Amino acid sequence: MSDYPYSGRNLFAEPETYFYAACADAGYLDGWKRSRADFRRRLAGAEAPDSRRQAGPRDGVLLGDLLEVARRQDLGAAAKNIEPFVVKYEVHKRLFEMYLPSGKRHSDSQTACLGTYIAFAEALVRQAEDGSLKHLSTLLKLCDALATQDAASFPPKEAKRLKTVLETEASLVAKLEAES
Amino acid sequence: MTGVLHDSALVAAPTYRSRAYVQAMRSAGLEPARAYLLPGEEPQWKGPERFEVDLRGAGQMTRFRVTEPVTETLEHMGVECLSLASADINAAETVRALTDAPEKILIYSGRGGALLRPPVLQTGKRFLHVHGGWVPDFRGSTAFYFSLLKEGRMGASALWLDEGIDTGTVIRRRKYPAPSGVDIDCIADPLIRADLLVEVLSNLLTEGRLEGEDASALGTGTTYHVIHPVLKNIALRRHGLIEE
Repeated sequence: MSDYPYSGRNLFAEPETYFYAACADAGYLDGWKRSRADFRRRLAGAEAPDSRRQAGPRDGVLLGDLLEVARRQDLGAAAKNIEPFVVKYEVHKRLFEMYLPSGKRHSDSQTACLGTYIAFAEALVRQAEDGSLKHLSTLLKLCDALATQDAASFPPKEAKRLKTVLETEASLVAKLEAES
Repeated sequence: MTGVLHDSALVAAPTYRSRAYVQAMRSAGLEPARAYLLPGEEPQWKGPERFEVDLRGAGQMTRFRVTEPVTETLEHMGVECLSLASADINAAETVRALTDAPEKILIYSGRGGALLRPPVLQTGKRFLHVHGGWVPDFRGSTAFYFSLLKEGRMGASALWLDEGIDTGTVIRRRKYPAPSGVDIDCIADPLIRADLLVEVLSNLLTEGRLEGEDASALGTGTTYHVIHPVLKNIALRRHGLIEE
């Protein structure tokens, strides 16, 4: 029986590269499923107050606002608009709350709050549900990181959204498993 | 056609891919003018030392001695080897050494994930690279796993390197059937790339030059990042590489 190797340390604080990841064990997927199911159960204990978003800068844009715009766009436009953040997350394994029009992070910006990461996960889910393996791969990495956070630190509304993301993630992986 | 590629040199790190490249070139009777070797630790393989793989599904077997270092194969071939001072392809001393190289074409087999930056790309040389995926559909990292999941097959694209990720002029592309029961990272992908490389180099020897197609004419495509191990596990399972 395998333990899922990415369920220990805080992956936002100590990122994982996933280079040449050892995953050929027969019990690997079951280990992942157990790890996720355990975190979904713990999310039921989410009790943190709603997070306060950093105020928007005059000379930049909030990532949360960009993701809200993308949520209302068609899939192609949304994919194009979230692509810079997919690259940033894949390279640096973190995002920030505020960015400049050039795409660089705003010097006054904090790292993204849990709510912003969940919004990003929802944007990835949308693309993955349309068949994008690239976005499913990024979603899996982001959910790994979110699942290493203290479940009690999520406000209840955000915990509910994250639970939905995790359920969709599970069904997308199950669908891929079932394809021969 | 066999012979010495007088205007081409190999730039190689000690990797399975480099081993596959030089063994394929030796089997095909193709010889680079010289080899520039990036330093590094040799990969340590545990398992059978020799493989025979039907890469194209046509019944023709490709042999691979997976534990044979690049230097040993090149010595058998009688190719002059020069050791580079740095393992970093973008280091100033590497740029200097490659600028001074008399060859115009550098057959590149560096460490995975290392992007060539302007100084080394501006040495006046052309870097010939074989990417492990059919571009533009499968650009980027671990593209062969995504290709296996999406299409049930692998691919390779020979191209001239530029600053982008697998965006250079495309010389040749080929699709390959999914390997069954063969390690993908260390055996199948390196052998597939080596197979296409030999095809391209044979053409270079015959024609004296390599024509290519502008990558932008092939469409936008998708650039992938390192595959998440859950997806890699599913790909391995589908191709008989996980014992239940």
